[in-house]
Amino acid sequence: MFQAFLAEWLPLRRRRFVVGTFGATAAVAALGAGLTFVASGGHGLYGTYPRPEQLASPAGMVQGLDAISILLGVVGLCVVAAALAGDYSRGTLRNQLVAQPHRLRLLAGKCLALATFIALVVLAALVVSVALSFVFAPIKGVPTGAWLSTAGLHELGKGYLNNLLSAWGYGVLGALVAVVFRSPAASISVGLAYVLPVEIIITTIWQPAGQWLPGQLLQDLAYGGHGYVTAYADAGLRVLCYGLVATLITALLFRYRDMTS
Amino acid sequence: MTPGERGRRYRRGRPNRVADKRMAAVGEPSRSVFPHLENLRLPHPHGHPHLPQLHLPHRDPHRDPASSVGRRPDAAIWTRGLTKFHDHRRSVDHLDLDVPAGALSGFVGPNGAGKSTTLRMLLGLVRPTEGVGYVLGEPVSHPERYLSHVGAMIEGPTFHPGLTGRRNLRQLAVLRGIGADRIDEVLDLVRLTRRADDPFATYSLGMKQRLGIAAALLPDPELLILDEPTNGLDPAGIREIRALLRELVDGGMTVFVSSHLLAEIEQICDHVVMIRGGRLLFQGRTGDLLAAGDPRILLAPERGADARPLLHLLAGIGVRAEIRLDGPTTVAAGSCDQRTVVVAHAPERMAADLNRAAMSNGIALRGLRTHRPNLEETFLRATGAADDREHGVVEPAAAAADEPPAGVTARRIAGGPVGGPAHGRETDGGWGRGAAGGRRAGSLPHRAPRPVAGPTDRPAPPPLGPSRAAASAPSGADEPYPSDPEEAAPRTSRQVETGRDRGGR
Repeated sequence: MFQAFLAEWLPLRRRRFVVGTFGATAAVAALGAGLTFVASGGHGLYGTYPRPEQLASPAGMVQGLDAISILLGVVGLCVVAAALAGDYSRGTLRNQLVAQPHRLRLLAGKCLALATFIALVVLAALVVSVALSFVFAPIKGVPTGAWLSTAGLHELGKGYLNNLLSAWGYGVLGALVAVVFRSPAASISVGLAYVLPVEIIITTIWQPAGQWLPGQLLQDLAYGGHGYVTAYADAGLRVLCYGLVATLITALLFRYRDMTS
Repeated sequence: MTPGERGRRYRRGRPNRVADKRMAAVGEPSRSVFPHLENLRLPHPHGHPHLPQLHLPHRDPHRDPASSVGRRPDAAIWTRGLTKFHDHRRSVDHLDLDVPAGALSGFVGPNGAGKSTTLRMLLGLVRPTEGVGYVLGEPVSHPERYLSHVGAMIEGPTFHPGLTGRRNLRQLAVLRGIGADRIDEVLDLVRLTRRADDPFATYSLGMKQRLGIAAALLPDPELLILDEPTNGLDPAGIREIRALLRELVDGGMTVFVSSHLLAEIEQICDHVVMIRGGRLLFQGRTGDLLAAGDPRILLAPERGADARPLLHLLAGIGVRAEIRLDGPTTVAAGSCDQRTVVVAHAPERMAADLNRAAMSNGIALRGLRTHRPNLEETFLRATGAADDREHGVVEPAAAAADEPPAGVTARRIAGGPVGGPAHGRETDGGWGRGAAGGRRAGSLPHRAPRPVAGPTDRPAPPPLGPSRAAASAPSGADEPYPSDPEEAAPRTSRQVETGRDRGGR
């Protein structure tokens, strides 16, 4: 599995891929942090923006990151789906399966590498978001003393982990659609169509569905259970169940399905 | 009963008499186009009945201790009854492969014959629906046991376009736990070192092919499986790959190479597997297959009127022969003498004897030439015959096998003579300038005509005149070949093809 992990890092380290992914992430993080501070106290389409006193709290430093959690999830889904489905569509998976016939070991190594990559992406977003928060805070008159306290650092770590779990959850969904559809375009479009418009429409029409739909639960998780009706533990448990089922289906399909063209 | 058949028979767990009865029908020996080759098979004339797929969980047939009974210890690849269904379509149909270790074996078949599916099953990428298979002595159901000793390139070279050639190889080397030194070795082996650090996307087709071969060679395999390795290579590249494969085999590696380039296979392979429609047509030594072809001696009498006496002379000494008129129909009737050729179905070594016999009977020959079919011709003959059988066409050879003909029977040559020397090997005894504008090789018949009627069991059609009819000497009961399917093509198109063939050689 470790060999598969190392091998998967070679295509992930392509310069164009790294620059594209991290550049887009940084841009989105900057946008999130900027809008969070610029629009603080205002009303948005789906709720209110954080008030200045909330931004001054220990958790204020990660408000910018939380604002883009769904976009980080999209990045996670796209990276995993593109990598796995790309191996199918290009035919490179055939070579890899001849080199590593233990299919589950190969899949585990790949997923581990992709999970690490997503962790770095979320970390980059966190760094950009926090850095810009320190830039924007004086402009909006938000005190930053609490951010550097122990509680602030605790919130920082918690925010990173919550967003990382959320992005990994989207990544699991990306792996599932990649193995099912075996085409990057199909898997990314179906995955995004589900987590963005479909779930949002369903939740808008019938709000209790938000407590059970995986995309909405991943949002709860990213926000640390704040601001949504589902408690953090409940959301985590449900996401865990969905994740296990998705992982099982992915593993079974990857293990037993024929490698045809 | 082969292990595969045994496995199929007992796998279901409960008796299924209908299936057993069908299976018995399937198991009947099929007629051979090449009766001298016991390894050659053709589809059963009634086809394989569709056996119901019960989709019941069944145990791995490889666990049956009897499944490997009869397996040759020196076989690099050994399968019995290997079958794969795709959406109720049988891609591979009870394939019994036996590829000897240390051989350079060719795997040939038309598009859609099931070559790639077979290779995928051998590599553990696709699970067989039925049957057993062993690669390097290990069952295909456990590819992890043998794939570390197998290198493969199937369905073309597939790599990350954004990675360099070296990094693509590096990825596979890391997966296999191979050091970086080996990457340089294989890059050097396929002469790609200079471009190794360029992105794969910038490679030409030939370079991509070389990288694919390099990737297959990474583990220094015991068995190398290549699918169309010379695809896209220029002549020099093809020559290099040919030499490389020969070198690898000389070094003890087994190479199993699928290709559409039959001339390549014929040149480099000492063993050949021929499939059609997922079924095995032939496997064995390439030389055996070619030797079992229809060798012919083409005798051109100086006078056209001598053709019939020559035909009877040949019949008298037990040589099956027929008269053909060579060249295009537009040639003036007066030039018939120079267009008449007697085609004797006899091996090359008889050429001198036939010449002497003709001379002693007062028949002067203006030319004598031998023709031995090559692999391409043999392949087209075999697969064409398989086609016809699948479509219910009764071949005269089969009819001849059932009912030995007697006497000279008039035949209608469907479409007249075909030049077609491009596919055959010929040794020329020296033709005079023929009536067909002096086109030496192309103006001569090289393939047995395809009679519309069988030699004995069908009424002879009315004579069509000297340019369209020919007489045939008595055929033996064991006519080695059915007629060439290409002969049935419309005359105009065949003439065009003949001209092209002539140009090609």
